[in-house]
Amino acid sequence: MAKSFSVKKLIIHVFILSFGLVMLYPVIWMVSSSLKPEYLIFSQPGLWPSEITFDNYINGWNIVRNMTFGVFFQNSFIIATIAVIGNLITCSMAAYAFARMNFPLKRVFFALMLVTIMLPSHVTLVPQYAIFHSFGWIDTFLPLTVPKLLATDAFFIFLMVQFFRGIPKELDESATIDGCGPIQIYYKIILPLASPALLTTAIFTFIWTWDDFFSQLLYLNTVSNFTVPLGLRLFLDSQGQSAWGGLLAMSVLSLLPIMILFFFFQRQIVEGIATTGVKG
Amino acid sequence: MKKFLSVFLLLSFIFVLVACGGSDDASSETDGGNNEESGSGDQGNDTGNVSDDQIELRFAWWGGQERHDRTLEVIELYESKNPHIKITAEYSGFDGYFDRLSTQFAAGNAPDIIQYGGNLNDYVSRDVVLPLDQFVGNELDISLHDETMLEAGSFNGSLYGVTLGTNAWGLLLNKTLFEEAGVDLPSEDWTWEDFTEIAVQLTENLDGIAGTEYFDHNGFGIFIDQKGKVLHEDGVLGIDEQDVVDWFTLWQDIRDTGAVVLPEIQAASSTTPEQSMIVAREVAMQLIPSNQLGAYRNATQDELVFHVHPLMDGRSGIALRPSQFLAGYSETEHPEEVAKFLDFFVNDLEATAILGNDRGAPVNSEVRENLIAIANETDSDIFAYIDFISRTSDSPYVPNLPGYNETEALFKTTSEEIAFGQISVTDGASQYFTELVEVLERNR
Amino acid sequence: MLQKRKNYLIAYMFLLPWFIGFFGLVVGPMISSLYLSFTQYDLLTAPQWVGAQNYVEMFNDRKFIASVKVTTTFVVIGVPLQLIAALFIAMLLNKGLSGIGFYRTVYYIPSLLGGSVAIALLWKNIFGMNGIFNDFLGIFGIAGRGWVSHPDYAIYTLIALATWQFGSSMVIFLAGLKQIPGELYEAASVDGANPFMKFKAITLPLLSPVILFNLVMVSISSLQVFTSAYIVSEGSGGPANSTLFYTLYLYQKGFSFFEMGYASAMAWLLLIVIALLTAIIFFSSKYWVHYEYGGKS
Repeated sequence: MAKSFSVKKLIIHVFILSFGLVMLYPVIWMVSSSLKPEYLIFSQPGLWPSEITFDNYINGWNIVRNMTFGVFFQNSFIIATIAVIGNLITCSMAAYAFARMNFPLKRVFFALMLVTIMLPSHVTLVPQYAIFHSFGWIDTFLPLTVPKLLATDAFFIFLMVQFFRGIPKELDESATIDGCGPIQIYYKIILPLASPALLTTAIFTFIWTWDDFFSQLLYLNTVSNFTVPLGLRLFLDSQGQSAWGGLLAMSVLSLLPIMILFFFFQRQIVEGIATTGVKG
Repeated sequence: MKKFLSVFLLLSFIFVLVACGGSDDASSETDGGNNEESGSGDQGNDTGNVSDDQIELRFAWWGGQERHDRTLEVIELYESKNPHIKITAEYSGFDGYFDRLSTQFAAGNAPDIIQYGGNLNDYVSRDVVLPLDQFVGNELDISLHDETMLEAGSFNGSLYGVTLGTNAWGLLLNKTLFEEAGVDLPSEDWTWEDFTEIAVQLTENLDGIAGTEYFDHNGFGIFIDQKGKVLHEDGVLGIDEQDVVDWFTLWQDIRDTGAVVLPEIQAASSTTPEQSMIVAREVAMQLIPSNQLGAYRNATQDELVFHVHPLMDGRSGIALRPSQFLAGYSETEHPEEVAKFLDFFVNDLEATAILGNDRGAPVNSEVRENLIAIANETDSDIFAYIDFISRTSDSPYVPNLPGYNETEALFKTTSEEIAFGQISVTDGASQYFTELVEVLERNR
Repeated sequence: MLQKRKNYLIAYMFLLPWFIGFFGLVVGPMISSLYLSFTQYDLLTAPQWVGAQNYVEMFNDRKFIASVKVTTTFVVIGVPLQLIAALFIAMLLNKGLSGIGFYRTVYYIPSLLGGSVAIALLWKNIFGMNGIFNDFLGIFGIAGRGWVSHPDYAIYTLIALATWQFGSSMVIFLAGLKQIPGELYEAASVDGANPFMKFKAITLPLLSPVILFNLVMVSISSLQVFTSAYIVSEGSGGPANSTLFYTLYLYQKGFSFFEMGYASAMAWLLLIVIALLTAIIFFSSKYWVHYEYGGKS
């Protein structure tokens, strides 16, 4: 019995690992290419570099005169952190109202909230730009952060609504009997119990903000305000000479923070519920 | 009451965060300013530390690292010579450059000085480009500029943009592959027949490498010139459907010999020199503009030579073309200062020496001579080719079709449909012609 | 009655940030895009009212029809693949294996790459003429193709890309699986249920709100798919329009071809399609989604 069990586990391990290699291939490829001298990146497609150099990292880090790539990392970090805090607080508030409370026009607002996800963003970019321009916010971080503080990421509201609804209503009821109002229920019961959803929101917000290119390009004009994705595009010139080595090296570096972040937080997603438990 | 208090606290927390967002941003902005002591990247909307008589100009361009460095250096030089001018550099990669620009135009927030490509006419026709006529001879000196390049920046009789560099299309030949195949380099007066023959020989003697790429819409423009026709004049087509059929038939015939690279290889290649087929040794001949020669050479260890395009009835069809333009925003508050900067950028010997050949050969003859004197090998090759074309070519300069992006995409798609055998040459040509007329109608 | 009013007020308080954002930043641009969909608007000059012309024109537009076909293929094949892969892997990774954190990270890595420029290089490196996929086929003596750039196959490489980036749905499934109390499985084991029965009786119903979420969101994001095609085809949707996704064409129209009016009309048509699809999914959810333990909502 015990033996067949471990064989089964072994098979699962082998299966996960071999598929995992397929998943991991791009990173291996990126790291290997980033260590190749520039002229070998395209002429030598194999994974094993015949010549190893760290020039790409050094040149890539110093791509802009009088400035390093560190500035872009710092800017991305500021924007992503504010976005995470904003989404966690405001989206969970909205989600709580939708999932747990009753109020007039609830269905209408919920439908409107969903509709905002359905319109391709390309057609609202220009009017939105005009609004932020009228505030004088162009070339600042405000157009990229303030909307997150106003729960405009309907994706996360919907996500949290679905999770909040899965929490047993009896818990609310017993809390109400204990004299808790909706606000206490929100932060004493719902938020702790929905920590997997909150962590998911935090991770996704961070990563998606970190990877976002188009809106950052639109709102940030000067290089000192650039973020990592904008910095990476500085290596490319579709008509002239591009610095692919620097691009790949900085791409590898830009993956590191979100990989580390994910590695540590995925554990929290899994353990979160176990530590809080359903203790009421 | 307690509940209200907690809600209030929560909300005030949010507003503090909003405020933080603002101050974080402001501090990082000043950081950026300090980091870049030259000030080329500083932000100008908050004019707190800019004195009243100082003028701020925003200058947007796209490019790679090399161009950014050189352009920033020129900006510093200009600022040191004109202390009352502060130039904010807004540079980026090409990706999304024009999307942002269009958005800025829509919001009335475009930079004062803007770099354009072959699509300048699409912006001129929509009245967002500053006409330069009133500054010519005053702030802006164009007396030494090539006539064709002035023509290229002029629309409906007015000058809108100064040309940043002159280009000429030509064939890039991989000499190393020619030698491996034992094929001699072509002569300067080779014909399409010679071209086909050489391509076939290369394909036969090289394992897994095709003789040539397909020349696509840029080659089509040259082909029309060779036929002695003019692609269009002010959006009115000078060609008919038969010309399109002729082009696709010409290539279908070469393709039938097996000398043209597989369409799926060509479709996977990219406009960036490093990812091109000639660098990847998938073809031995490729059509490129002269200012890219350096980038191609740097991307491979093979020896690449730049050669004149095959002739038809003695005509090369190659005309000198502008690479990029520098132009002003029609709503700029300081049009004279914009014109002065344009003048500096293309005429000043010091500035142009810094800029070099990066955007193509300079249009100012004096500047060009100055550059030739200090040119490296690749630049000398480029100047020699451009000189050769300007001496021998009788092809007129024909501007890009209006609706540049759309007409270009249409031609590429049609070419692919024919190459992949989805549609016949005649049907493809007729479909292209019909849709081309529609696009031109819309962009009139 | 008073308590009820007060609760309404509290509910609106919770929604206050959303109200400000929605009415201050979201509604305006949406309405203006709706207005623009009835105009000819090139972004650079003032829009001109043309009535329903944009909506009519679409149905005679060859590229529009091509984009609808491409997107439909992508959604019909891609959405089930992504969801099944995500749920399957999430359940595997929900088991208490050693090194599980490492595995989870590995499986999420493709999603971390997001829309990175490096993806384009990578995909050619895998599915190009000289890519490793062809090397793999070569072992079996199969002659390869330029998969990524052949009009008959390019769309499938993009479906593969989307499936490979299933990480986000996987994480959401994982979080959902974690909310299911372990006692239920233990009780079922005591009753002698096999893994399949447990999956059907416990996992599926209790996970159903999250499945609904992922189904809706993956469908919407697949209908709006843009980045992967934009990067891999360098914005062209080629070869021969074979990867011209709906949103990619919409973007081309709006920004490259100076027809923001037409692009807005396309966007609103897509909104209607998505809204209908979502409404159908929500309507059907009454029959298969179970909120709270045990009961249906």
